[in-house]
Amino acid sequence: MQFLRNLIEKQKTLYHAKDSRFHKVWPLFDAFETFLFAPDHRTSGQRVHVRDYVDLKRVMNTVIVAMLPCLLWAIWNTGAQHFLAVDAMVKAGKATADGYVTGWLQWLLGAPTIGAVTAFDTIVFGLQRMLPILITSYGVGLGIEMLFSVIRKEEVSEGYLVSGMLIALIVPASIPLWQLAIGVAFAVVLGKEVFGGTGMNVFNPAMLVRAFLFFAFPAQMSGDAVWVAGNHSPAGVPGSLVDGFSQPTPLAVVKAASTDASTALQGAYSHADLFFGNIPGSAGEISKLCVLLGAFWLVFTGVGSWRVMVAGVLGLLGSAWLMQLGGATTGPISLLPWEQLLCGGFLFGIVFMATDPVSSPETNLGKWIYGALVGFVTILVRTINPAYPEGTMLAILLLNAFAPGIDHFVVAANIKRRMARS
Amino acid sequence: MTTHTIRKGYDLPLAGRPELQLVDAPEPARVALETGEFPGIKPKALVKEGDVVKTGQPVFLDKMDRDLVWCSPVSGTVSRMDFGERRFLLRVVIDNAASKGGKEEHAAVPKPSGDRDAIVKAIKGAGLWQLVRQRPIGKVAQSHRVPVAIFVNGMDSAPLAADPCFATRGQKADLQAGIDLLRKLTAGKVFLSLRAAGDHQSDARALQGVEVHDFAGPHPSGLVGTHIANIRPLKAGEVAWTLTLQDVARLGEWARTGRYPAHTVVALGGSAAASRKYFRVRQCADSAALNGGQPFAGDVRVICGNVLHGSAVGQDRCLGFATKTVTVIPEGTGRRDLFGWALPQFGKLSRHRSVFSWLVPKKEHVVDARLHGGHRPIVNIGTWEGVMPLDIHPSYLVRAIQANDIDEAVKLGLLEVTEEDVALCTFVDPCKIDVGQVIRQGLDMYEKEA
Repeated sequence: MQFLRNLIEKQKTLYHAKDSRFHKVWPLFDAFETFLFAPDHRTSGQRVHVRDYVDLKRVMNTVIVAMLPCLLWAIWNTGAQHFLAVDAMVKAGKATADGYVTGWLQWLLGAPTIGAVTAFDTIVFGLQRMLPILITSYGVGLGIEMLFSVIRKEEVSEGYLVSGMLIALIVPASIPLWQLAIGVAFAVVLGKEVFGGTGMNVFNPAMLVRAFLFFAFPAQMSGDAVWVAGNHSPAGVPGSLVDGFSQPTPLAVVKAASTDASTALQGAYSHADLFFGNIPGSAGEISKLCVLLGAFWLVFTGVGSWRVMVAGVLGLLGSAWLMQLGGATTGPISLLPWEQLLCGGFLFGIVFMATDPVSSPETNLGKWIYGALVGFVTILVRTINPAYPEGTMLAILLLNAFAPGIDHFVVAANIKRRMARS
Repeated sequence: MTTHTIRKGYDLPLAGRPELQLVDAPEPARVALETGEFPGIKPKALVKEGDVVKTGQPVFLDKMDRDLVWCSPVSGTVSRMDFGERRFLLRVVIDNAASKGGKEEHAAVPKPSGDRDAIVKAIKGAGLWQLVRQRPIGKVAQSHRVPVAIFVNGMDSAPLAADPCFATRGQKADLQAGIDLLRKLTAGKVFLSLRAAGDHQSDARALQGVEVHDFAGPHPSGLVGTHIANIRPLKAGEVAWTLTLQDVARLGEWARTGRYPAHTVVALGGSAAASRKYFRVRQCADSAALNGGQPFAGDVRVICGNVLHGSAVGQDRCLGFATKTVTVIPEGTGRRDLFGWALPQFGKLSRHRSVFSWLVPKKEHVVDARLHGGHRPIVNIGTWEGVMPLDIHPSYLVRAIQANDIDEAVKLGLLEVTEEDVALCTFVDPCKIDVGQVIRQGLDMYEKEA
């Protein structure tokens, strides 16, 4: 360790002093150095002399730990869904086992035997899709963040460490990497850096990536054909798909239901599969169990706001229940409120994205209102809107925009109380 | 008697609590009076280098209020006077004759008598007015204003802080004389705040002419800002004066004896202090007097005050004008943790569960002055709100100040706090923002505009 320290100190002379050779990229050096060693700052001689051991790196790291179950499940399920789809295609006679095309990691570690796929094969395929997505998301995002840090001559902020992982978990595993890269660049530059970087953005950057992709490349972000990743890139549809395979997500089933949505849903997916996540969907939001594990960790560590989570779930359940008072027995409204929780990305969104401390309200009362409204708007989109089966993304972005307004009224009430005293 | 229970807050479990034992510190070799402790004054020296001064003799005054003087706490020789830009007096250093066997002589100081104005003038002339602080702003009281109440603080909930009741034990007559004096300064009440179910309180609880309020709960339950908010919140335009119980005892001692009260009781604590006790010591003494005559050596920080609110001693190592607690902690120079942010860190002091010390609870932590992170913009995960018992939204207050919107900041409660009241916000903040510094900037801007 001392050896490492000495090495860094030696290199530091090239970067630290104002007139040193590489001083322009000092924020980069500082980012790498403080990644290894806690920074060499001490409190000033005035006011507060000791500080809590926590720092923003640790806070962000805690969120990443909370997302690990989702990531691990994403890797597994991406592989599992892939081979289910391949088997289904072979059984249907639309493909042959010999015609299976291997990807880069499968080429390195050994191709699977179609029909007798092992757990190892499943994980290899999952990694083959998820690693490039993670690398693209972090590479592009962190690269831009570092560039802006250098321009601003500020320390590199850790905010993107969480965004990068979130982005990988909320896109379909079949996403073409160049689209992802464009989306990340858009969100980080126009959604975050133009506002001043970490702590200053209005919208959740990861959600912006998804919204950008959703509207810019709808063919790869919606429909029934994109949720299972493969090794093919069919002409005209630049995505990594299982050729010709299509399967609706639970919410698409619900949206299309011409009868009671609850029955239609159970016809396609069992409640257990929905809860544990044996279903196609965006990479990381599918397993409700994994999301709940993460939620527990966030609430326990105090990093994520339990108020937003509880208010969101209550808002969703309450709104779904209210909708049913209209008496509709078919279509998405007829889905039981608690089934609304099991379907789609709402749980993931309310736990990991709506709780973003920067783009959500800061007052406690504001958090309750905000969370409940996220649930309410999600249900509105899911049930009333004729086009989109899922409303979580739009709900969170909309409420991000309203968050300062919600806080404004809570703070105004505080000012009023103070005025009333005098 | 009312008991107020404070729920939001945090008691830092620090090692190095001072023992409840009062001893006399040796005579310090020198004392230093710093003008920097009193921002806003324009000091005018009344002595020259080489002058022989008596205990209680004024050494400088404030040109903004020429009645306000600072007195020498020792008899001896003015050994050094430091001036800054434009010959602004920075400090007066006086060698203590008593430390070399010399005799102590007391200068004649004014006595309190007559009406309110005469009493105020006498307190100022005795060099004790600086002990009376004013809220809002938290600086030395403006004597032309009549406070709606005077708050006497008989508790201190800060980590390792001196217990005012223990420090003033046996000074019942002084305390009562001090209270009687204060009662003449306000048309309102004199409030005394005490720790609920605290020790050594028999003298304080027997005081006449005060309304006692009990406070329970974690820090900041013992801060005067918390007390005012709970007992009698100030309306716009109102001021209140605040003193600690130790200061009241000093006022009383002066009123009773007619001499400058040159000694104070200081609690010495902190993990790097050798002899952790209560010391009766000269005001503004060289801190070496608390360490057997030797300066505190090594990589340590000597803080006049506690770890949440205090200032490190300057080059002269001398205690502050109203120092009641001295905390000595390791400085932590050059100590850098490998992967500090990623490892579980079972032994580190933190209020956050993302640091795993909750798994291995320790009663006492040795902490140093490291920041444990880099400065970041505000990312509010609710940490400030969790340690803020006042009805204030600290993040919005800080943003209003940072945006130079002082009108908004006042509406958000700027005048209800000083840097001391938000010290816990600074402590717990993952973004390492010095909230107190921002608050003080806001108060300075407010003063300038007003």
